[in-house]
Formats: sequence, C-alpha cells, structure tokens
Amino acid sequence: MVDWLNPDEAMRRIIAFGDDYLALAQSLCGPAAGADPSASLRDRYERLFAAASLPPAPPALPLFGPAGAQGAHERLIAATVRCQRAAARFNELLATIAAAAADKLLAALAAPREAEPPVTSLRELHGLWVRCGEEAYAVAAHGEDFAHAQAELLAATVEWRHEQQQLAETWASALGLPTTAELDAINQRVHALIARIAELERQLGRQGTPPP
Amino acid sequence: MTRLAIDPARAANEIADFCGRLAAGVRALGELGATTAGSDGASPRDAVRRDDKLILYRYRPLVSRADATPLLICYALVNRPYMLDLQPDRSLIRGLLARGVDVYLIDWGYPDRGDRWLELDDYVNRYLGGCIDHLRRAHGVPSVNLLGVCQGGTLALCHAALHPERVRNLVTMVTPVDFHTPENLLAKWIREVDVERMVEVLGNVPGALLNAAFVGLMPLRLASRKYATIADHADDPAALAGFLRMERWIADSPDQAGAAFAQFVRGFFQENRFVLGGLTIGGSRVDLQHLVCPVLNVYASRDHIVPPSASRPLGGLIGSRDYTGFEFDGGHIGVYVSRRAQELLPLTIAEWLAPR
Repeated sequence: MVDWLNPDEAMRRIIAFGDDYLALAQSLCGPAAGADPSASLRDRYERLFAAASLPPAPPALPLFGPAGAQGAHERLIAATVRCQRAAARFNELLATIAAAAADKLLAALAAPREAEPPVTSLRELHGLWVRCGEEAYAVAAHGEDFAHAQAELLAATVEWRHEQQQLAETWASALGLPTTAELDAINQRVHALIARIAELERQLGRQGTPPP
Repeated sequence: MTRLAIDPARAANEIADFCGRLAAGVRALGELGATTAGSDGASPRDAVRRDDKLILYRYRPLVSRADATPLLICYALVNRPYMLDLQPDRSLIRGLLARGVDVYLIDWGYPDRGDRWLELDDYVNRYLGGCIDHLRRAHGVPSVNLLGVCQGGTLALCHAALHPERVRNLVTMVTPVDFHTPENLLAKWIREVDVERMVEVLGNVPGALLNAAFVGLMPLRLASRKYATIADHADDPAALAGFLRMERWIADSPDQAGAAFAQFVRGFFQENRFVLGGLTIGGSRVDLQHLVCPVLNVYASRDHIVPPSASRPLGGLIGSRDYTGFEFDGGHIGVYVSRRAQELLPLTIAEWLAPR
C-alpha cells in the first residue's frame, strides 16, 4: 500500500511509476536479446498496475483550467479500480464457496458405506460434487454478503460503462454523430406523444366521437 | 472405510465411453441444428393484431371450439412465449386446443432502444388492454379468459385488478405475488440493486444479464451437469432435438424495456406492492381486492425461480371468492414441458374453465 499523504513515499512511487513506464515503452520498442518478451511485458504491466490496490485516495483537488478535461479520464480510472475491487471481492466469495463445497464433498465421501451407498463411478462422483456444490452455493447465495457483493459488482460495472459512455459521447459530439443521450431524448418525446394521443383518443371515446 | 469405491480400470473405461458418447452427441446435435433451430412454436396460428412490436396470435383449432369466450395467454417479458408450444408432444397450447379452448397468445417481441421508455402502464393497459379489447370486439363478449404465465401472470393480475369488468376468469401459472418470501433468491439479490441508476445508464436491460442471473440461481446444475446429458442422449435424436430447442429458448432472452423493468423491480421485487399495497400503474391504484373474477392459481412445488411460497399467498390477497390453488409437482420449466404436465395442466385448466 502506498501512503499518498506521505510526500517522500508518494514521490518515490511517482518516480518508480515513471521508471516502469519508461521501461515498458522500451520493452515495446524491442526486448533485449535473449529475454522473454512476454514475461518482461507481463512483469512490467503487473508493476505498473500494482497501484490499483491503492488506499482510499486523499481528497482530490478540484480540476480547473486546462486540467478540467482530464476529469472524465480520472473518473473512468476510478470506476475501473472500483470494478476491479468489486470483482476481487466477488471472486473471493466464490473461492470461499468452492472451499465449502470441497469440505462437503469430503464429508459426504467420508460417510460410512453402511449409511450411504458407495460411489462406484465417476458419474456418481460428479453428481455428488454438483450436489455438494449447490448446497454450499445456496447457503452463501442466500447470505447478505453475497447479495451485497453482487450488487456492488453490478453497480461498479454500470458506473464503469457510464464513464466510458460519457467519453464516447464527447467524441461522437465532436465528430457530429448522434449520441445515445440525444436518441434517448427523442425516443422519450415520441413515447410522451404516443401517451398523449392515447389520452386524447380516450377523451374522444368518452364523448362518443370515434377516434380518427 | 469411505464411500469412494471407484475402480481405476472401470473409471478409465467410463471416461473413454463418456468421451465417445459425448462426441457422438455433439455430432448428432450438429446434424440436428439446422432442422431444429428457428421454430417459434409447433402449432399453426395466425397473426390477428399488431401493435408496435407486439403480435397477437390466434391458434387454429384442433377440434371444434367449446366456448365462445376466448383464452388470452399473457406470457412473461423476460423470455419468449414459444416455450408454451415447444414441440407437438410438449405443448400446453396444443393441449388446450385439443380440449376445445380458443387460444390467443401475446408475443411481446424484442424491445429495442426505441422502447426504452415503455412503462408498466404501456404493457398492462395499452398493449394487454388493447389485445383484450380486440378480443371483446372480435368475439362480441364483454370479457375474456386470461392466462398469465410467470411475470405475465403478474401483469395479468394488475390488469384484472384495474379492469375487473374485462376479465371473466383468470388463470395464473408460476406467478410471483409475494416477492419477499425467504426462498426467493432473485428478490434477495435484486433488493440491493439501484435499478433506476442501472436503467439510466444501460437504457434497456440486456436479456443476457437476466439470463446470467437465472443461471446464477443454480450454477453447477445449469452450467455443468445439464450438458453432460448430451452424452446420455447421443443415440436419441428426439431427445437431442428437445435439448436443442430448450437451449435455444433459454438463451433467447429479449432485452427489457428500461422504464418498465425499473418499475417492475421497484414495485414488486423491492417494495412487494401486491402484499404491502400502494402500487400504481398509469396513475391508477392497483388493489388485488378489486379482482373479483374466478382465479385458478397454478404453481410448481420445486420451482427455483418463483418458489411456491411466492405464488400461494394470492388466494388471500384477491377479492374473489372463487379461488382454486393447484400445486404441480415439478419445477419452473417442467410445468410447461414435462410429460406429466402435458396431460395434467391442459386438462386442469380446461375443466376449471368449462363451468365458468
């Protein structure tokens, strides 16, 4: 974890990031002879994005002047990090369920043969695994943790998509293309018009005048 | 001594046999694919009304029609209605036709971006109401029989409560009414979701997202064990064809019109308004006490999507004194396609409707 409020540590991290970025660029230009290019790239990426496990960020300065335009990109990065965290939390729960399912399977197999019939085929073993897995999953899936983690993953994904959409709309607008927001607004107007026509037809019907 | 008693040599044979049968099953599926895919139902029918993307179908009779009052089937928005007529020997619709019922079906179509602002008012009053009005005019009757399936049952309940004079008899099948019972996993999951924000960003809600949620209810059974049955049916083309049709149906999930989806989730899944009251659609209050027609409520004892506990309370919520609950021993899909359902459900529905 990087303590961003500690100026020395923050500076070291920024310098390290710069070094990593430079090294990554150099890797992309051509790896050293004999080096495994994919391993080198992977290593660089991992170091570069280790910053994703940041502690809560310090209060951000309001963006002003030319920096204002970078706000959309910063929000997208923040949304990406939120998505990664939510996915990690959800995967953690799934791993816990898998462990519980394995425990159940072991317990089921350890039951004495007199109490339960022996498992004599792989098919039966698979069936037992599915049953144990579903039982473990059901317990977790009905819990609040699971519902909360799933809802957070969905919400984070929605916000990530929103930030991407905002950027895309900026570009679409700059290129003179219709945006989603504009299409939605037009569709909303059409829907309101249809509702208005239906209401007028109902009023005409009540007055005994057949609608046109 | 543990229960595990797998002989290694036998296990090796089992693996080889399974792989061989799976390969044969996959080959057979490939040959069947072109002839099985693409069907929207097994029974002949005619489109009699169109309204935006909605199509109202009337099925051609198999025997002379027994009753002047037609039966209108209102299916869910989240899946396609051909599940009710999947193949000739697995068809609730065919079973009803064989008993002289005059069957109509609403096909909601596939909402696109232009439908993003459709509300529950549009589905319950404009579309469903338009179909009912069409049938009232076409048949010269003041009211029709209405059969609502799953979410379509919830929409049908809303309509019947808002316009009791238009519904002569109501049949609900695997229809959720109380959304807050402990077994209702979907409701537990969606209660924490900010559905308005989701719809604001996504517009329509992707059908694939809902499908993932349905598979997530029992992921190991629905995403693993089910596919092992391909090997079991390798030499049974009819069973494989049925498997293909079912797979196609499961994946054929229309996107959901955003505004209506948000209202449905908020009103039912999150706020349980049938039970707690306070539901309004199109500016009118929906009170199930206003529903006074005879009601047949069919639910499935092993339904993992709409648990029976979510359907059973209907009898205590409606104003009707003629209520019949019918518990089918099966699951949410089995209620349409299982062999037992083919015999039992059309008969139960037709016999219940006949004297009413």
